[in-house]
Amino acid sequence: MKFRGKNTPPEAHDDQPPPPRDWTAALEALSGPQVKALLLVASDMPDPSSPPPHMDLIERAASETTTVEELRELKERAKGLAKEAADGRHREGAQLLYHVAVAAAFVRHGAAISGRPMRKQHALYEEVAAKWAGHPIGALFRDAADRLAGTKEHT
Amino acid sequence: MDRDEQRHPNRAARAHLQFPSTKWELLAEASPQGEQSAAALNEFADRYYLAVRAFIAAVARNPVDADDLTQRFFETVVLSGRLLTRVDRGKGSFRPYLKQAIRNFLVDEHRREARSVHPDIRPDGVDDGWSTIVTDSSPAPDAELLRAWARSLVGMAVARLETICRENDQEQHFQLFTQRYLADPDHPPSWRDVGAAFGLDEKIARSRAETAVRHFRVLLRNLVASDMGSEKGIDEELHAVIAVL
Repeated sequence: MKFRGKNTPPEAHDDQPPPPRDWTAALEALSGPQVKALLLVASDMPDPSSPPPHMDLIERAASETTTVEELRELKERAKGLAKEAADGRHREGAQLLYHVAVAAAFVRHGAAISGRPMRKQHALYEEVAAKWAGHPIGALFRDAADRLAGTKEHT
Repeated sequence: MDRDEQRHPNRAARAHLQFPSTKWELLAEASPQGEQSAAALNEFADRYYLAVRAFIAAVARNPVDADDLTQRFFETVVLSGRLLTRVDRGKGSFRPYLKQAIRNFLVDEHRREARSVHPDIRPDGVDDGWSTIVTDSSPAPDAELLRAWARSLVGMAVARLETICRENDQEQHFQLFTQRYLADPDHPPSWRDVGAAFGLDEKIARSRAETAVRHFRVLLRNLVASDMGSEKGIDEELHAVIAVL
């Protein structure tokens, strides 16, 4: 592979950032974890090294022990976080929290805590289940989507 | 310079970064009759040499044999145009076709050597040698090929990303990208630490690296799509590769 070397980095000073690393050798011998990290960057899968904002709340919402009342509170909190979000990433994190809370209430407690009919969530849940495949959040949405598909079949 | 060129001054310079729309076009151009034979052949080798070698090495289990056989495969099957002339372009994904071509080549090689007085290929002391080993699809060589192919494509995409960033005066964006994703993938540095190394705050470091990420996504996904001949199923393909890494 042709890759430009940076062989003569400037001397470092206290008030200057360190010189950039020479990546030539690193790219000649990309390791499995490096390739995997870059494939994750290019795929639609969540990057484990960069979890979404509010992950602590999202994990709490996804927990099997969280009660319906707590899930309602988390859903309302998600609305507030989405309104206050400083950027798109934080808004998406808040939206994920909202949907996890609603899906968890449906799957764990058979409760509908959103005004939107659950059957209308099916396509979204399929999408989130695929994106988070292999993660507890993916399993939660897989379960929710399967239940909604079953509901559709019976109606 | 027309308006479009004024708005996108680097577009012409990037022409060499455009890929053939499918691997079949690339292969056609790499054939002896192809119009851009040398460049296309280089690209074909960049994409598949490591993958072919990994597949052969997993079968041969002898590095010397693997190097010789890989070289001979490119000479007798790729450079000669045989790989192209026997292709059925309607059969979709290229890798199964490539694997079968390698298997056939290895069987031919074994038979050819078996007929010679001093065979220099050692099919690991197995009586029927390559023909019994390589005719069936074996998960180990398949996985090795997939890993090596992914490594080649990722390496190509990173090298092309550096070119694009340099053309756009975004060399720091590229450095931030590599610092974040290549320095220590098992323990990636925080955005604060990535930025600090360049005298940037966390938000600016992240924003610049994400510009490079967007370029990288397009580059790698285009490479995968051109290998598959379609933009459909790119994520499934990426998931399959990630699963074997």
